Amino acid sequence: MTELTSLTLLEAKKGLEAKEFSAVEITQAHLDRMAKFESLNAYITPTPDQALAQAKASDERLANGKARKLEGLPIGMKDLFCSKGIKTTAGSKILHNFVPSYESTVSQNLLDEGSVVLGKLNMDEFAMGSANLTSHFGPVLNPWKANDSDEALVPGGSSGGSSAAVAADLCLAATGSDTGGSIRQPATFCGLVGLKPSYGRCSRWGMVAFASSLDQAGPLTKTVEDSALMLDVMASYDPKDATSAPEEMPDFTTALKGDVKGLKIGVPSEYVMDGMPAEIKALWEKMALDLKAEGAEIIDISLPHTHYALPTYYIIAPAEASSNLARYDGVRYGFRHPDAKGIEELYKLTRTEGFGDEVKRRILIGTHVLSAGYYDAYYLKAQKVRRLIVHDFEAAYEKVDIILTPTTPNAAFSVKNPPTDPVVMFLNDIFTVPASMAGLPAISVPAGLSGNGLPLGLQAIGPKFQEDQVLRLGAAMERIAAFSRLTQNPSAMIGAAS
Amino acid sequence: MAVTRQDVKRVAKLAKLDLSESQEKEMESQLSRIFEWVEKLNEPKTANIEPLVSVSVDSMPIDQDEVREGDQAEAIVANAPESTLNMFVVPKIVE
Repeated sequence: MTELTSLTLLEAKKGLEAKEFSAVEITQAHLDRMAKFESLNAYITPTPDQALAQAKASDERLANGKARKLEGLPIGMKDLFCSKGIKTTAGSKILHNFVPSYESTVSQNLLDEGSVVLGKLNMDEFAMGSANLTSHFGPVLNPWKANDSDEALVPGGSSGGSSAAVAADLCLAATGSDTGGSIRQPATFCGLVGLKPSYGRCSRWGMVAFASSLDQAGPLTKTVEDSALMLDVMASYDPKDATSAPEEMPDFTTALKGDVKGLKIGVPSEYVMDGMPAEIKALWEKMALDLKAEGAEIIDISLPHTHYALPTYYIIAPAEASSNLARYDGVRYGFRHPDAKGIEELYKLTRTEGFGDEVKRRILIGTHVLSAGYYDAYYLKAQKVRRLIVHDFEAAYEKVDIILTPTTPNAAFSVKNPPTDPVVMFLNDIFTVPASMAGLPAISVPAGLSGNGLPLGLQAIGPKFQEDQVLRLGAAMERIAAFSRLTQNPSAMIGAAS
Repeated sequence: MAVTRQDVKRVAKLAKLDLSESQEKEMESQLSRIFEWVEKLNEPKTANIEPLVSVSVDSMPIDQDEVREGDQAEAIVANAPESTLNMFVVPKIVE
């Protein structure tokens, strides 16, 4: 019999409904595997007792014919979704002891449909990072290894605990959050499907804030179908989030067939980057040809402001972060420095010791661009360029239904030797940031392996609120690529999994 | 535009962060690198472009000023580093 942990979310749902195994059995199987692969450091806080209690309740519902959409399915929760009564840290020392008294809307939606939460997943501190190297709780390891080295690799970030856990079968699916690529880039590095919905599709209520005009929750999953299943539950209009969108959710049933006949697919010339490995360009071009052979129309397009998206992002996101993170003052919750004598010292000592280096760097950038004398030159200018980026996409969608690009300009890199130049590290997000700036839905699908055996991904970017188109192209790419997940390919697994 | 040591000191003060001398030096060089890279935003013409604040709403909706939840003082101070009588306790502010 196939191991229960290697099932997809949808396969497990069918298995539970057909009573082939119980929710307690599949939950226990995941808890056992989490313990076995603890060294990946994917979970900050496992919640086994709560998970088994939830699974037991799910088994009763399954027996009584009262199963909900995700009944009894074990998933992982990124540690920036507030969990009532469970420590929620956002990967930061400043929240190391924070126990929310309320549940985030996204995680409540998942609980309301019967999913079983195995624990809280590691992440870059406050979701700031592209390698999961900035967590206060230590780096997460990518369960994949290259075929020419045993060196430990990064799982991507900021949802690096989520991507490592799903890839290593430590949960059936996971939540993530994406501000500039934090779902799609780690999904690519770990050979998974990562979906960033349209801005406003999932409520931000109860999500620890990074950059509020960009933050969006979404799933990391083993398949495109699983991604649709998760999105269907995670998304909702929520009056508690002023930017939540009261939009109808499209029906995914036909989209998931991945029929691309007549689909107009745009290929933007600006996404060919200097120094990008030839194998990524080749993978992208081959996918376009294969889609054309299935009846899609491939159309060359231009998104002329693409090159400005990344510097725009690195003004707007830190500006919003510096403002959002002003709330961490050691007064109401989280870490307080014990030595503070006066209030000014309380703020300074608490923030200086509570935040890590990357978070401090972004607070300083954000404070600088918002400060007197620099606001117009940087922040206002970036907001204007952001509108030009949105205009680029609007013009493109007059000609095409969807846009096809690579997800990242490289595969996973070494934990020990990450780029030291901050700008080089930022380049990880060069292909994911434009869709974030414009609030568009985008999916990354694993499309093949690099020369040294590491996953590479391709991205479909759709018009606003057309997640159905994104899933349609995603499903077609998944079928064409016929990618083998890590645990179907155990020799690629770190520490030679037995 | 290069970022000077004075800029770093000014911004750290505004952000309520203490930096050691070596951290100031490192931030000066890293922020300079980042802001030189950001210079390319001067290329696109934006004189007649309105700044974009949000991709979802033109203006923030305003809630009715009414109490929907209340009487949760204990839950609110539950995470406080120090509290007394359901109030947050901070070091003395006035000498």
